[in-house]
Amino acid sequence: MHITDVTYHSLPLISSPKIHTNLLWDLTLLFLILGTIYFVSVFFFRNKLSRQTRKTKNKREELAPIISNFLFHSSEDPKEEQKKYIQLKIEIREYLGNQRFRRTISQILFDLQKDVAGDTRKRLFRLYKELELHHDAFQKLESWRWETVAQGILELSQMEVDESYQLIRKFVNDRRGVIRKQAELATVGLRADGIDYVLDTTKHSISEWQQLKLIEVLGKRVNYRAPEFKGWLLSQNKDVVLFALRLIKHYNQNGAESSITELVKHKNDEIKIAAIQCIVDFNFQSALPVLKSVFTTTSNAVKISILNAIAILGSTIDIPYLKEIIETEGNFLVIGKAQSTINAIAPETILPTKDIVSTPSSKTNNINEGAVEEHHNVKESVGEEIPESIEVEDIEFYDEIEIPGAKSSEKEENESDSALEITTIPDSYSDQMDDFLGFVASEEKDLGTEELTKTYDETLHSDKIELVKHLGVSADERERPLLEHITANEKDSELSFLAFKKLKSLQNESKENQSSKASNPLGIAPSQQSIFYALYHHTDELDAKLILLEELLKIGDVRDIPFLESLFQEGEKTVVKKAKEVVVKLSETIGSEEEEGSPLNQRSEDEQLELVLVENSNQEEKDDRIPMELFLLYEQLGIAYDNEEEQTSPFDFELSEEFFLDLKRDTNWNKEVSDE
Amino acid sequence: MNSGLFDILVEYMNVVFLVFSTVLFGMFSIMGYLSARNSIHYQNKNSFGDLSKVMASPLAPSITIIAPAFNEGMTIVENVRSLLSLKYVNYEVMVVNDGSKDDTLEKLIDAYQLEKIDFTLDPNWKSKPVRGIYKSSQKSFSKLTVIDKENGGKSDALNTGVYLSENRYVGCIDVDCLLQPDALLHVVKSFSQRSKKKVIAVGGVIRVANSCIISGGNLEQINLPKNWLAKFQLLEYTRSFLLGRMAWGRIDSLLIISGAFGFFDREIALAVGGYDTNTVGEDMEIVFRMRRYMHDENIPYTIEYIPDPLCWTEVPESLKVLVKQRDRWSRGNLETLKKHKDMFFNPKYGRLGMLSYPYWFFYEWLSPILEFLGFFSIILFYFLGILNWDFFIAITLAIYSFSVMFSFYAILWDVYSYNQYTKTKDILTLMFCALVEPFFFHPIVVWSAIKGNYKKLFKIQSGWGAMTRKGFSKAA
Repeated sequence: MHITDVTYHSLPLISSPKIHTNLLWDLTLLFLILGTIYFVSVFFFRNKLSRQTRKTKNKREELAPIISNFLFHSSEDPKEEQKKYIQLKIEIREYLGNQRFRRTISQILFDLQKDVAGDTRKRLFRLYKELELHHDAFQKLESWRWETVAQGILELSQMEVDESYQLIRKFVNDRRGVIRKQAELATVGLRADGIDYVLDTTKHSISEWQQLKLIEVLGKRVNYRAPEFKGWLLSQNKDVVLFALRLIKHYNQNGAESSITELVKHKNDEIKIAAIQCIVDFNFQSALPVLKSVFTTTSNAVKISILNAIAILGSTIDIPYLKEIIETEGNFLVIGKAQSTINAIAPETILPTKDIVSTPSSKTNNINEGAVEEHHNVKESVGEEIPESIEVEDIEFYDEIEIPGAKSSEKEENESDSALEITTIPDSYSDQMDDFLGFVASEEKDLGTEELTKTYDETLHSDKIELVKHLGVSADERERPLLEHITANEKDSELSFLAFKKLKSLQNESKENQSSKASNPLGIAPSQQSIFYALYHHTDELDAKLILLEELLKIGDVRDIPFLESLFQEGEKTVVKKAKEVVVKLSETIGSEEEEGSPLNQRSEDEQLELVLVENSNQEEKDDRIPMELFLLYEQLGIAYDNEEEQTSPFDFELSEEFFLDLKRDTNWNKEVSDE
Repeated sequence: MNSGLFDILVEYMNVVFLVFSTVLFGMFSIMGYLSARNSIHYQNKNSFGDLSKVMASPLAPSITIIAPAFNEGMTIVENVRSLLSLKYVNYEVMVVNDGSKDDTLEKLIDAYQLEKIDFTLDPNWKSKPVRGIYKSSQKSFSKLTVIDKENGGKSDALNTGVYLSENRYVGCIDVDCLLQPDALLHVVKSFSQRSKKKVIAVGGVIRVANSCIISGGNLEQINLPKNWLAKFQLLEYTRSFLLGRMAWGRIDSLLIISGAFGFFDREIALAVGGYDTNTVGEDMEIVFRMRRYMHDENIPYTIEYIPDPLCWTEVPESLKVLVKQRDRWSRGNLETLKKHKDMFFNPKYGRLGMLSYPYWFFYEWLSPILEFLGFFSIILFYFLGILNWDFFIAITLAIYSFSVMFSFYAILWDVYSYNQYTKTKDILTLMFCALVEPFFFHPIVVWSAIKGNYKKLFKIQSGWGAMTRKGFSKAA
């Protein structure tokens, strides 16, 4: 403390600032007022929201009949209806001056378009335009509020106002993200070439979510012919390249092999990974050397993608390369992936080493060298026998043909592998040979999957039956997407089932190709030889499966046992139990038949095999006819059996005149078609 | 004692409390404004388009939901069934049985017909040994994977799940949480709607499910909890999730993603080494580490926050459990802040170092300690006869009225944006909770925080503490 000379008042050396308590009271008052406002606002907003909802609901109820009258009005309606319709038109014109009414009716139509389809939808769009509600949406585009502009774009695109296209596409490069995204979707939705415009002009990024939505919009277009998206692989915009890759994959455009392979060298990891995925999906084996060449310089994520690709596209030739990776790589994930890639190419090459107790006899290394070596030795020893098994003339003929661009890796593979079994000539070689031999390829290109499915959808039902039957006999991997499409979308349960049956056999063929070919001359796994196999897998219902097994017991034979045994692996306990039960009973039945002196029992193994083959071929011939029990079962499972042959063959033993007339008509029709 | 120096000290103490409170008022007001803006922006932005259309797209990104389970035998089958019924095409449910002593694993094996499959693990990966990986033989449960491992705690279980997952995104949830059917659609949208910045994590609102009616894994009826502790927590959650986190999300400074509903970019989560197993605040710590990693790597990134009510959980209804839970939260908070202390006012970390960290330090960690000290100072000053009554009453009323006002504001936003409690009685009950909360519930929270800090300071061993759940009410 000290005394000042002027005032003689004591002043502290150190002092604290004075707190104005009044300020705190003022703050308290402010908070209390705000608190009260919020309290009132809670109930005010709550009531407002519920009032609004109620009002809109009432208005909708009031307007719904008017709108439906407009939508379903026809010029052929009775006079009274016509009068009523004109009266409504006059009334509604009067109401349209009211902005609130316009908003409500606009909202109702907007909501309604989500639920209607076909002609009604078109009428709805026409009504929307006739009421000039699209002018309100155009006005929204001029708003300074982004949400209003975006709402306007959405409304115009959903109501398919084609005139708005030019206006909307200006927003594709808008600085406000939500408007931009909405404009992209609208541009793509309004015109078929909208996607070209978006990909050509967009300067901004396209998020993954936006890409999914754009694909969804494209998917809605009827009879859409997608452009060649490879053109945008050169874009400067990283997201456009990624989107183009995604579109190429989505539309199955496999004509961009070189461009996609080149993208593996892109500096951006995302593009690299997307390109690798494309390579895998399109099975571009020629990209393998490029993948290997970039491997060392890429990030771990890309390395893992490359290894995934090698696992699918690679062959035993790639194993040394993969072993080298295992030895040189430092990252565990990459090493692990390389090991699993080796096992994917040659199963069981790498055996587990962790927690394995060593025994004097076992000499397992991390990589089972012995297994690989043995594998090669077998190939070599068989390879020496090749000249004995191939005709000399044939060798000379092929030697003379120099296949251009034949891959060294494949040459090596031929040296070691092809000796083991005669394989089909790859398509690329076949094309090159055609070129060499001067064969002119047909100008008519193969239809794409989408075109194929569209063509199918547009085909007449009778033609569909023929087509599916034909596919059932001769379809191969190329027809797989079409079969999938038929299985998923065909309303005719019989056709759907036939497609499913073929699809299943194709799937199994590819999976068990090697093993079943070796063990089964028919090319069909024993478990699939049962006629119940496809039927069983076609149904999802447990009850239906059980009924099927019950029927199998009545009409089943020895070929059904492997199928039943395969069901033991099923997750469903009831099915497993039933299958076991049926196997026991069926074996007993077969046993007793055999005791009675089945001719099959007395033959040698070769003879039995021959018999099975003959039976199978007969079965194929007799396939048109099915046992009565199975016929009933088809009905029970909802598989229609209404085609002409099926209807007549089990019961009609004589061919009617109509049959010959029909046959003649069909032949003439086919002739006309082929002439055309 | 009535000396001038002591008076000055006391006055300075008042000034400290006043400044602290005023800054708090200011910050909370700004938070209120930011959250309101963010809520409106979110609502406007998401009013276009239909999420469900993308749900079926095979191109939709893949996601794994990791649900650690420890002694959850009573409810595990139902909870997993609920997780398997989410509306999304490309997802996997990974239940990590963290060495349960009950029949959790057996129940899962029986209910979903699980079979052990082969697997390889990185020997350098630091987590408790995995005893087996199970997949269902049934096609309908093909989305389910069960990992059986030795007990190592929640973080360890989550780490194993993150490591074994092969999908791009991983979601770490509590197995007893109820997710809304479209939850994954919202999450995936949040992850994939940006292209300039990498979204490293997505968090969301946790809603209180006590007294709600659940049927077949779906929320049938939303009710206000009957228990008063749960009611107070509901109000607290509304304030915290709808205003607090929404505001931090607006300025991209969110530092915590709730452990009950947190989704991460797997690549980044692995790059930072997963969850820290040495802290009980692992959900906050991993966000700190992921953010730091992105800053250090100089990669543009963000964390998204979804205000839609997508995850519902049961909150403690017993005082003992509540205190244990809050004690753990404050220990976790302290551990995380201590571990990342170099971020404190560090401009290198931008808003994170200059704003978020200091806020957590002063207002999440220090605030309860100051409140506790303030309470004792008042008693002491009263007995010493030096209590400045004018100031004491004025500041107490100012803080009280602010707290009530802020709670009312939170209720207002809840009504305006989601309006889930439609009965007038429910809203009035919540408002009543706001009025009495400072006298009943808040002291419990402060006491729990002090307890947690005390334990941490004196290194008293304390783990997670068991959370006893009553289970959701089933529809009649």
